[in-house]
Amino acid sequence: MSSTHLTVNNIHCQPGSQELFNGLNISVSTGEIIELRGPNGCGKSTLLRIMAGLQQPDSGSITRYVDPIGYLGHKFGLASILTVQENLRWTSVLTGAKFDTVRAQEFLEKFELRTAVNKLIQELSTGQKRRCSFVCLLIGKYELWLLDEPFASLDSKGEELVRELIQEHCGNGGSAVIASHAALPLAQAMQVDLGIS
Amino acid sequence: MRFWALYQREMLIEFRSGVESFIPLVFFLLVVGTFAFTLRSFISGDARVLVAVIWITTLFTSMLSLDKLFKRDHADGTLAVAVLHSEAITATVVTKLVTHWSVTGIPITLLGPVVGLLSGMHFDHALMLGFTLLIGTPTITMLGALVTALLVGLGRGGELLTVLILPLYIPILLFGISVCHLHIESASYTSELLWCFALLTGSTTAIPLALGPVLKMSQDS
Repeated sequence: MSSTHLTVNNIHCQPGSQELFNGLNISVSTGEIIELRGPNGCGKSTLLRIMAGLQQPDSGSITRYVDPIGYLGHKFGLASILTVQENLRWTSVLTGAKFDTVRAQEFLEKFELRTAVNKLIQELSTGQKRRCSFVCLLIGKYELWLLDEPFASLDSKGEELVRELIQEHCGNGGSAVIASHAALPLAQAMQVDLGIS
Repeated sequence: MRFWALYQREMLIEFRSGVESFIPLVFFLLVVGTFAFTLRSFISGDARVLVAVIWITTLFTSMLSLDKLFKRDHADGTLAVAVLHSEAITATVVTKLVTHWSVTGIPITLLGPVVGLLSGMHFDHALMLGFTLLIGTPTITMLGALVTALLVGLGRGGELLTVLILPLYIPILLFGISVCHLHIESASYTSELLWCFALLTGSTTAIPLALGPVLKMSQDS
C-alpha cells in the first residue's frame, strides 16, 4: 500500500537576490525515488535541507509523515575521532534501536569496510567515509532518505553498490530524494528539474 | 541507557582529543597561579581578593572551553544528524553539557579550593569557595551553551561569544563571590546563596529543553 512520507507544499525560497524556487510542490511516497536535477546553484541542496528541516523556506510548508529522516549531506555526519564501529553504535543510540552487531557486520562486509571497523574516521579515505555514511543510513532503518550527491567520491564499484542499495530500499517500502548534478543511473527515478529562474 | 551511551561517546571524544581538552584547565591554573604569586601580599591578608580572582578566571576558562562545545559536531555534520532525531536531541545536548561540566566544571571546583589553601586561605573559606563553584559551574555551562548554540551556525564563535556571554555571567559571578565574601566576613549569606541555587535550578531545567530547537535553528544560517 502506498503511503506518503513527505510533502512539499507550495514553497518559495530566495536566499539572496536570486529566487531558487517559487510555488514548488513535491510529494514523496513509499517506493518512490525522486531525482532533483539542475546545475550548480539551482537549489538542490537547499531543497534537501528544507525537506530535512535543517532550513526554513521563505513561505510554504513541509509535512513529514515519517520521523526521523535519514539525511546524507555534503558532510559525512561521522565523528572524525571515533571509529567506524563507534559511529555506527551512535546511530543506533540516536534512533533508539538496539545495536545489531551481526547486521552491522553484514553491511560492513557489503561495503568492504570490515577491515576498517576499528579505524578512526579521520584515517579513512573520502570514498570509505561515504560508504560508512551509507552503513549508518542502513543501521538507522530510516524510511525516507535524503541524499545529496550520494555518488560523489565513490569508485565505480561503490556507485553500483549504492545504486543497488537505493533500489532495494525503495523496493522494500522506503523512499529516497536524491540531488545530483549529473543524470543518475536509476531507471525508475522520477525527475524534478530545478532550473535557475 | 541512551544517556549513558551518549555520555560514554562524549567522554571518549574528550579523551581522544588529548591535550586540547585540558588546555582550559592549564589556562585556569596559569592565570590563578600568576595572580596568587604577584598579589600574594594582598591575598595573604585578605582571602576575598583570591576568591574574586578564582571566580573571574573560572568564567574565562569556561568561555575558552565552551567555544568548541558544538563546533566540532557542526564541522563534521554530526550535529545536523543529531538535530534530525527529535527524540534523541535533548538527551544529546544534556550529555554534552554534563560532559563539559565533567571535564571543566568539576576539576575547577576541586582545583579552586586547593589553590586557595596553597595560598594561605582558611580551610572553611576554601570549602565555601568550592561549594559556590559547585553550584556556579553548572550554571556557567548552561548559560554558555545557550549562547554557543546560537552562534554555532555562524562559524565565528570566539569574539562574539565573549561579548554575548559576559553579561549573562554577571549575576552568578556577583552572587558566587558575595557568598564567599560574606562567609569570610562572618555575615549572613543565605539570600545570595539562594540566588545561586535559583540560577542553577532555572538554567538546568530550562536551557537543556531550549537547546534542541536552538541548535536546529542555528543550522539555518
